[in-house]
Amino acid sequence: MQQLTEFAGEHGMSAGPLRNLMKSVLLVPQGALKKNLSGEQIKDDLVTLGLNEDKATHFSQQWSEHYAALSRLAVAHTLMVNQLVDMEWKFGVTVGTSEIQKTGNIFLQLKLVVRRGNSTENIYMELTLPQFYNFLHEMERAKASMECFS
Amino acid sequence: MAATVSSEHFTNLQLLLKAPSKDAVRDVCVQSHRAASRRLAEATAATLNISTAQAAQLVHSLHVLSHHVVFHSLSSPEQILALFPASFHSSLKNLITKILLENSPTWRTEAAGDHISVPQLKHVDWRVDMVTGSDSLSRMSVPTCLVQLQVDDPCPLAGGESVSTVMVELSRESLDTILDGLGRIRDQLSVVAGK
Repeated sequence: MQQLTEFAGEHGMSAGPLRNLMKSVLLVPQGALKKNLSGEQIKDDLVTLGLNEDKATHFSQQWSEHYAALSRLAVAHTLMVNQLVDMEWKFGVTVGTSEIQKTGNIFLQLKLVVRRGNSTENIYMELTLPQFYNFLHEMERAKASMECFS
Repeated sequence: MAATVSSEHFTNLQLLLKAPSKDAVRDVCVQSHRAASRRLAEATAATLNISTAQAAQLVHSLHVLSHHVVFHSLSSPEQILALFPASFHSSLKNLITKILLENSPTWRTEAAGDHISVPQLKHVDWRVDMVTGSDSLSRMSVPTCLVQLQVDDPCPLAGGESVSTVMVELSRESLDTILDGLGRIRDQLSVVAGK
């Protein structure tokens, strides 16, 4: 937005109409990204829409160069349900309780920060040592499964 | 809670001499460890042929004694025998000591698992999905991981659920970061365990 306003200032036009114009213009690359169009296809589309040949070629070159980065950004915008945002942990030793005067059990506490809509929710949980190793094992299996797909 | 075992408690324990069999004594000891309920007092009164009030006191005394043994981790017969007053009936003393020694490892493990804490993780399930299309990209192939954590709250809020299920979605980067963190925890744990 700031870049648009600067651009408008440099070329002596008002920012408002420019913003609206850009919104419509951006529909073309967004649609192209959605349909996974190649450089050639986008060039043809632009020419059909009335853009002259040179500009269309230039745009399609830029498109091919930055396609990977644009796809990655689109993937990042993909819907994720209850996305894990952060994980904090601490572990310690229980020295005693009201039932047992001297004990030495190791515990691990995890706090998972999960995005729910626009806000985040904290989920706290405690794991015993065997549960921790089991969790670690399961996550390693999940990762191995994910690696199969790349 | 571990109250101190006073002589009054041992006087109550002598009521066990009226028990019809050793198994009856064992039953009362084991059940009173959990909690001193009215139903147990009544059942004990019937078995021992004593009044309900006396049975309730007996159950309470057994409860105090067994919790004392667990609290101080008494594990040898001498330690437990030392608790009894000299005038206590000797074969009953040996029987009670034997029962307490038999059950205290189980009770200790139960107590260790049953303490106050934040909700405990009970079960982990995961699934790896392949996202093939979305709003922003109609053709894609991005793996994503869904993890379901079943969490058990030992002290739920009034009206709240005890077991809750949390579903979390992880991208590959998040999963890598988590594994990094878990790996560091594992390293630190092995340092602590090594000491």
